[in-house]
Amino acid sequence: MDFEDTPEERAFRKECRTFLDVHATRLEDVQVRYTRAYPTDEMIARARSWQAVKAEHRFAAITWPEKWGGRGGKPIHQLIYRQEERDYDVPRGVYELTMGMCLPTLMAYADEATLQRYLPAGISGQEIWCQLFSEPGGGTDLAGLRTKATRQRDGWLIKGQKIWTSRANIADFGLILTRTDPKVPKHRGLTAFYLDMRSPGITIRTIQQISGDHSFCEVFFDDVYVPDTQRLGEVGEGWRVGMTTLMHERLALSDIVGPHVEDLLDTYEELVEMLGADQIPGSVRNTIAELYVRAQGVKFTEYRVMTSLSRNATPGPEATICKIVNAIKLQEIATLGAEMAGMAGMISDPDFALKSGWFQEAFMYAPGKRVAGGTDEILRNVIAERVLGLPPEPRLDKGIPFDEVRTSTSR
Amino acid sequence: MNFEFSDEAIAVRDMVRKMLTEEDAIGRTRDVALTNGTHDRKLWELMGELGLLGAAIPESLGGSGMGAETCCMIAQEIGRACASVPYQTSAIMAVQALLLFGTEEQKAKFLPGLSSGELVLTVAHAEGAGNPDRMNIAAQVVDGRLTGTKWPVAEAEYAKSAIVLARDGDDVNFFLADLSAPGVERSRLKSLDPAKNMMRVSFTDVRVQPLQADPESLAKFYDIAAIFTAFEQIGCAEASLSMAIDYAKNRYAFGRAIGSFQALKQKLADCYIALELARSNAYSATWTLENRDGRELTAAAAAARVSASHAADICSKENIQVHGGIGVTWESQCHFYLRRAQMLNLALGAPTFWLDRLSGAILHTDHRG
Repeated sequence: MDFEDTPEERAFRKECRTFLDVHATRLEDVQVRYTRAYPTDEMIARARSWQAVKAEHRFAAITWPEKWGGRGGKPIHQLIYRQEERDYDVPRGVYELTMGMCLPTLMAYADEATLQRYLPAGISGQEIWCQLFSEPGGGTDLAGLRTKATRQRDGWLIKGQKIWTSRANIADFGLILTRTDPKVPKHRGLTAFYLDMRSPGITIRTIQQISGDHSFCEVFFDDVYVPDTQRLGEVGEGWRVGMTTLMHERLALSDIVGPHVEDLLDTYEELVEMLGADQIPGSVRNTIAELYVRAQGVKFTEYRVMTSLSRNATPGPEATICKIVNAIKLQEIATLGAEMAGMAGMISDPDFALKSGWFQEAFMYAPGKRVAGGTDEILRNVIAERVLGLPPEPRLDKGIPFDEVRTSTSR
Repeated sequence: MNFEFSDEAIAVRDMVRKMLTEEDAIGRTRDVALTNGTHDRKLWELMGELGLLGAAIPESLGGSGMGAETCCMIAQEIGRACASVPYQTSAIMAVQALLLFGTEEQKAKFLPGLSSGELVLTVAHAEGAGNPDRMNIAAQVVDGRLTGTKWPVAEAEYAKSAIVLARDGDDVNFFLADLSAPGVERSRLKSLDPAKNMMRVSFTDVRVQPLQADPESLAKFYDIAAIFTAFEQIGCAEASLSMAIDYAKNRYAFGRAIGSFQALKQKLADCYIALELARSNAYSATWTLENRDGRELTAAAAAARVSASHAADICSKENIQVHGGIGVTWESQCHFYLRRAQMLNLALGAPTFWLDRLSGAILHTDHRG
C-alpha cells in the first residue's frame, strides 16, 4: 500500500497542476465559488470552451487511446487529474455523459469510420451526446422499454417515447435502446442505435424538476428514420450494448457535484465565530463526524476500485457502492448544512443563506440523485445478486414473450 | 499510488486463513467457552512458532519484522475465525506500548518472548466505567510501588505481567507489574465473550517499573491500537456476513431460497457496504500510521475504528436475524461473532467515544474548550 505518487505519477500530477494553473482559476480566488449544480446557458457555453481547452491539452479523455485524443493513461491518471481539478473553478455537469458513457459505448461497438466522425467532435466539445434509455413504463425495469424500431428498407423507423433524458435539449446525438422484437422475452428483443437529435420526427420537451432544474427531458419519436448503419451491435443484442453503457455510468456518476463534508467543517467554524461554540448543539459535531467516516470510506473505496482497474479488468459492480453512498451522503450533508443554521436554514436566498444557499439547493436536487442511474434499492439488489451471489427474485416476466407481459395498463 | 495491501501481506493472510480453518479455530473457541478455559493455548503456540505474533516487532528487537500491513492481515484473520487467542491484548496493545514507551532494556527483556508467544502481556488501563484518556485514574505509584484496582483486564488470569496505567504524581504513566508478585490479587469476571478472559486485578504496594509514556504519546498509543484492532473487527464482520449469505442461499421458505427475497438482499447489501467502507477506512489508517502523525493520525484511526465498529455491529446482528430461530441457539456459531464484535467494539473505548474523538480531530474548535 502506498498512497504517495510514484515518480511517474508525481510528474503527471505536476503536469495537471501546471495545465490547470494556466487555464483555470483556483477556487479560493473565485468570488462566489458555489456554482449551481445545474447549468444555465452561460455555464453550457463555459463548459463547451473548457472541454475544448482540455481536449487541446489532452486532459479531456486521459484513459482513451492516443489516436482518439487521449493519453492511453490508466484509471489512476484519471483519478489524479480529478483530484487536482477539484481545487479549481471549472464547469461540470455537461460533458460527463458524452465522455463517460456514450462515446465509450460507441468505441466498443462502432467501426473505425464512425469513430473518426464522432470521437474528435465529442472530445473537443463541439458535440454533446445524450442517452435515451428510460421510458415512462421502463425506468428501473429498463428491459421493459416499449419504444419500437421497425425495419424500413435499409433502415429503421422509431416510434415511442423516452423520459428522464439528461441534456436531450442541448444534445446533438443520442444513444437509444429500442424494442425490435416483442415476440421474444424482453431482454432478447432489444436493439441499440445512435441517432441525430435533429432528425425529423423528434420532439423534445424539458421537465421542470423540484430543484428548479430542467435538464431532464421527455423525447418523443414519431416515425424517426435511422439508417441501419447506425445500429450498435447485432439486432436483438441491445441489452448487452446497454449494459456496456451502464457499467461506465457507475464510474461516471459516482462523483456527485455538491457540498462535501469539508463544507460542513467550514460552516461549523464559521458558525463558531458567529455564534460561539456553546450555541451549537453538541450532536452536530458527532453527525459531522459520522458523515466524515462515510465520506472517507467512499473516497478510499473509489481509490481501491481504481487500483484494481489499473491492474486488470473493467469496472465491477463493486463501484456501485460509491454511487449509493454518495447520493445518500449528499442528502444528509445538505440536510445538516441547512440545519446547522437553525431557523435561517429555511432560507435559500443566496444573499443571506450560509454558503450562498448551496446546502438548500443540494437539499432539493439530492432526492433526484438517489433515483438517477439506478435507485438505491435497485443498486442494493445489484450488489446482493452480482457481488454477494444471492439468487435473483423470481420474475413473472421471465421467459415470456414481451407482448404477453403484464403492465400497469394490461393487468 | 496503490491502495491494496502488499503481496507479502496477502500471502500471509491466505496462509493464516488456511491454518485457522484447518485448526478449526472457532470450534476450539467453543471449547474454551464450554470448559471455562482462558484461551486456545495450542493455537497460540502454533502462531508463535510461525512468527505471526512478532509481525509488528522489528527483527532487531526479536520479532519477525513482517511489518504493519501483515500484522493487520493477521488480526483480520483472527477476527474472521473468531479465534480465542490474546492477539489484540498481547501482540497488539502490549507490543505497541513497549515499542512506544519501553526502555531499551524493557524491550530486550519482553519483546522476544512476546514474539515467540511464550510470554503473554496485558494492558491494564480501565478502572470500571470509562473510556481511554478521559478516565479518572485512581491507581497510583508511590516510590516505585503500585496500589489500585483495575478492571476489566483482558487475559490477566494467565498473563505474566501487566502494563498498568497509573498516576505518578501529577502525571499518568504506564508501569510494568509482575502479576505473580506479592500484593497482586486476581479474580475472574463473567465476560460477555466467554472465550475472552476478563479479570479484576487489585494491586497493593506492588513493586513496578515505569515506562516512558506522556499524555500526548498516550493518545498515539490508542490511535495505533485502534488501527490494528479495526482489522480484527473487520474480520469479524466479514465472517458474519459470509455466514449470513451462505444461509440465505441454502435456506428455503415459500418454495424459494430466502436470499431471493429483496427484504434480505437490501439488508445484506447494506452490511456489505458498511464492511467495504470500514475496509477502506482501515486501509487509509494503516497508511497514515506509517506516514503521518498527530491530528491526522487521530482522525484516520478514529474513522477506522468507528467504521469498523459499525460494520462489526451490523454484520454480527443481521447474521443472527437472517438465521432466524437457529441464530439464537447456543449450537449456532452466530453468537460467538456477536459477542466478539461487541467485545472488540468496547475494548478500546466505545464507538461513541471514538466518534467524539474524531469530531475533536476534524473540528478545530473543541466543544469542551
